[in-house]
Amino acid sequence: MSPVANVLSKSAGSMALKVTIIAAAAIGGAGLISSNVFAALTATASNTSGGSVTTGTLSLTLAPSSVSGITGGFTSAITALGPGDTVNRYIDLTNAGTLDGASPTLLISTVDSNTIVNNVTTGLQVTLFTCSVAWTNTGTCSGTTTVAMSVTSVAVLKSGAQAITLPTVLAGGLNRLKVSISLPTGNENTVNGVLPLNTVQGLTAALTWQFTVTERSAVTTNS
Amino acid sequence: MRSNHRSTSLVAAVVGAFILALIQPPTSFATTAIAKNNTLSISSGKLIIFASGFQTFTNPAAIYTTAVINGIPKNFFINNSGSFTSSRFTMKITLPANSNVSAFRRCNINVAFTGTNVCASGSSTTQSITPGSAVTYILPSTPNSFYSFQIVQNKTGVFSVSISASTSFITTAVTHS
Repeated sequence: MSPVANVLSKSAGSMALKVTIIAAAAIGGAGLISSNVFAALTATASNTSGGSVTTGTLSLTLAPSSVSGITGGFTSAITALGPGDTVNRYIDLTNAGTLDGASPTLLISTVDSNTIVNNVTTGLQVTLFTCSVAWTNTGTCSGTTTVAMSVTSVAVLKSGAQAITLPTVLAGGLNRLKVSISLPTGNENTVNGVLPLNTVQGLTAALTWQFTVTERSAVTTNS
Repeated sequence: MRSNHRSTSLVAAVVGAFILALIQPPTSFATTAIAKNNTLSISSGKLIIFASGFQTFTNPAAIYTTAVINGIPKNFFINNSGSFTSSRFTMKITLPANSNVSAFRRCNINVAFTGTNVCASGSSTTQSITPGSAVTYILPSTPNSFYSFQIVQNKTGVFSVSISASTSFITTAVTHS
C-alpha cells in the first residue's frame, strides 16, 4: 500500500467509528426520553370469589293427579257426556321455577265450533276447585277446599284468558286442582230419534287448557 | 344527482334510526310461564228412542207407520239406541178411525212377544192407551235396550207410533276420573 492510500484508509475507519457512536447515543437518548414520558402507575382491586349473577326461572307445569283412579287429567277423553252430567278431572299445577308468579289465568282454545263450546248457557261449563292436600279418588278433600274459578262457560274461557285464584303461585308451589266439567241440565226433546235443532247432543270438542302466570313484580334490593 | 341525494338521505335515516334504537333505554316486559295440555276430547251423548216394527238399534229417524188388521195383534218395539239411560218416554199411537183397542200390553225390558199375549220370558203387563194422544210411559231404558209392545184393535187401516223423549229424564252422573 502506498503512503497516501494508508492515510486515506485510517481516515475512513475513524469516520465510521464516529458515526456508530453518535447513532448509539441517539437511540439510547430517545429510549430514555420515551420511557420518562409514557410510563404510568396503575392499581387494581378485584374480588377473588363470589360475584356470580344468576337469573331466575318462571316455569309452570301441568300434570294429572297421581292418585289412583283419578289420573285422567286432560288426556283421557270424556265421552257420552249428557245434560246434567259432571266429570271431575284432577290436575297438579306447579310453579316449577325459581321466581314467584302472579296473576294466574286460564284460557281454553279449540278449533271446534259447535253448541257445546259456543253457547254460554247450554254449552260446557267449567269450575275449578283446589285442595290443600291430595284429592281422594271420590273427589273429596280432607284439607282446605277453595274455589279457584267459579262456574264459567267454555264459550267465555275461549274468548279470553280468565283470572283464577290459586292458593299459591310462589316458586315451587303446588296447586291440586279439581276441574269440574259439566253440561247443564237441559230439556231437549228427541222425537222419533231426531235430535232437536241447536242440540248439545252428539257433539265433540277438543279443548286445550292453558294456564298462565306472569312474573311477580320486579324488585330492587340492597344487599 | 337527485337520486343520489335521496339515497344519501335514506341511508342517513336508516343509520339514524339504528343509532336511536341502540341508545333507547331497555323497555320493561312481562315474563310469563304457560302450562298447557295437548287436547282433551269431550263428546256429548245422544238421547235416541224410537219405534220400529222389528227390533233394531238402527235409528230410522222417522215415525213408525204400518198397516193393522182387525183383530190381529200387532207387535212393535220401542228402542233405546242412544247413550243415555232414560226413565220415561212419551208415545202417541194413531189408529184407524173409530178403532177400539181390546188389548195393549208389553213384555219386560229386552223381552219380545212370541205370540198373542206371550212373552219370550216372564209375563206381559197391560199398559194404558189413549189413541191420538201422547201418553207418558214411565219405563226405564238403558242404552241398547228395548220394549216389545202388542196391540189388538178392531179396524183395518194405518197404524203409527210417534215417540218423544226428553233429556230432563235421563240419568245423570258425577264422575271422578
